[in-house]
Amino acid sequence: MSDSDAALIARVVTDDDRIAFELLVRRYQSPLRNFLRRMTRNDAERADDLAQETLLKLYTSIASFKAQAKFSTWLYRIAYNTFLNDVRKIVPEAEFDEAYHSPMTDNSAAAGDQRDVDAALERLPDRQRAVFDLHYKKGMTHQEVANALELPLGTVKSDLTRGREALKAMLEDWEQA
Amino acid sequence: MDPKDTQLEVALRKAEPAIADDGFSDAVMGRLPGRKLSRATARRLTLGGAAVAGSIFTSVLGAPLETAFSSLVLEGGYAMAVLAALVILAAITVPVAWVCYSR
Repeated sequence: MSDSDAALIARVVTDDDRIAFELLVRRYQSPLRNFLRRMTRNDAERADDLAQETLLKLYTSIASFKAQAKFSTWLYRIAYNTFLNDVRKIVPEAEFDEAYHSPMTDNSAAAGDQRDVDAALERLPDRQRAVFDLHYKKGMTHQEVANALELPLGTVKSDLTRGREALKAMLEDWEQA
Repeated sequence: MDPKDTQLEVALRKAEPAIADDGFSDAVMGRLPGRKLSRATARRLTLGGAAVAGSIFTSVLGAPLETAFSSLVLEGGYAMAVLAALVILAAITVPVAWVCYSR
């Protein structure tokens, strides 16, 4: 049976158990890197740098983790703040550059639909992208998304409603084009 | 529900592909700061060190202190003797309490 997140964190905090921390890193590396790729609009290298930075911050602050909170919520909060700090270092709000993003390789029709949705998601503002990723891809509830991104619950709900409308409009435009 | 809404919901909920580790976790582990002394080890070392220091102080200072206290008591300096005892007691209990009850 695999150890729970809480059990692994307790081992890291009490004994500086590196094996326990490595298990946490291996468990969360894929969803974390996917989240940051979404946030960086599919810039894999930058996303991996931010993922590493996130996990190092996690390690140095793990003693402050409150056991009653959900570990993934805390992890994505660190990741989102790390991303925002990085964005502030570069430019206030980077313009979207289509040529800059990696092309998809799957050419099936279903993959085409998914590609359209992914491309449309990339055009949403940072906060909405984070809300959509955590809710739809990570399966978080509205309240968990609000906790992770430190947003009011109403903001999360309105971001999802407005974002869905924006996505529908973009997909319809592309269909007609 | 509008079929387009349903289609969008399905596409949004589609599981994302897992990213292969490819040395990512090893890179993270390689960048961790140096090991800290664990709290349990620090506590054991502190208590052991305090015991050794206490033994040395007692063997070196025991006889002169006994003489000094005796002279104070014999000369009627009870208050001074009680104060000295309290100071010694505090010097022992405060660090021990700190070691035992600090988180």
